[in-house]
Amino acid sequence: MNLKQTIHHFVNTQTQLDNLDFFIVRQDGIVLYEHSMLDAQIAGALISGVWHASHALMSLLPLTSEKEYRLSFDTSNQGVYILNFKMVGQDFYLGLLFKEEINPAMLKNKLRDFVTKLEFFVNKQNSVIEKSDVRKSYLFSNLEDREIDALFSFAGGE
Amino acid sequence: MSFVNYHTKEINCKIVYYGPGLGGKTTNIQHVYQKTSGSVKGKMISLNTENERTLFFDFLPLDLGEIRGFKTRFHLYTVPGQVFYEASRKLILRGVDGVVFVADSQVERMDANFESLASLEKNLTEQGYDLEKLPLVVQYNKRDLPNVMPIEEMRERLNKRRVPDFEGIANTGQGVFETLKMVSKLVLLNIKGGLD
Repeated sequence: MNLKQTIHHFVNTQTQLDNLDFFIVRQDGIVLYEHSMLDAQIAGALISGVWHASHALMSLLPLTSEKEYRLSFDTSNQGVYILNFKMVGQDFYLGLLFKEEINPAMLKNKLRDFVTKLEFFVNKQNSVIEKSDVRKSYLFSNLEDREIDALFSFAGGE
Repeated sequence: MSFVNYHTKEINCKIVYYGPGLGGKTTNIQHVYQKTSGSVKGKMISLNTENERTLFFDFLPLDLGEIRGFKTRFHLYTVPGQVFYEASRKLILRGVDGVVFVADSQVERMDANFESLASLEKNLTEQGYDLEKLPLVVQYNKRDLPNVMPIEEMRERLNKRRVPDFEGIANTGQGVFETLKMVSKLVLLNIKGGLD
């Protein structure tokens, strides 16, 4: 199993976030898991961007130790909540969008619990994931111009 | 850092358009957006100031179809070009797989081009990229304006690595897809993860 499959496998066994819009996103904004009808690629880019910007803003303070940050942008019943966590040595974000929530604090708590379990599950599979994902050589040794042209055929002959 | 999913046969790559302010980065991806059919393009988002200058980034996801059985998805980003947004540019370069440097061909913008190129090199080096290996394409934009520098001189000054380069007039679309195709090809050829 690769990382994406491992995440899907884990999430499918969980029910606590069933009715929520959430995304698991890499540092570069690529979405590894989506549980939402919203545009996942847009959500991934924005979740990653807002986290990076907030982290950079916080780093203006001369702090001596790195804390585990959480990012909230919310009212009493709707908003965005983002958590940062590590899997197989890399940073990821879990971004939640919610509305009409009676108890957002409880929801955030559920999310933190979910992330802890996910980290534990994925890191337990670490050796298996790495074996299947680490590849040394190049995926394509050559590509012809006509293959690239075919990818961009939508551009109407440009 | 590109992401290849061998199980679903998907490739995801990040391309960043970099360059001086008002050089035509946003216009490049707006043209791509306009020419893209519904099934291929996602929504384009622009985080702008009130006067339409890029504040944080523009983002355009492109689902391009298959190449050798792999579904290919490119994420196009632009950085804000204005000098004082350096911190944002650093953030957007994280995880980049390929860069398009959009230079402004007007003679009076050469200093801005140099400054932007130096900032690109510094930011990539700080993030651990090997500048010799990262796919890079240069576009000399605004070739339709009267006060442009000759192309050979621009090449001499801005493209010392002799990476692929193109002349462009982004607001008419000239050179936009040539540039994007080239950087896409270089990025795909640079993906680690052979099937052998």
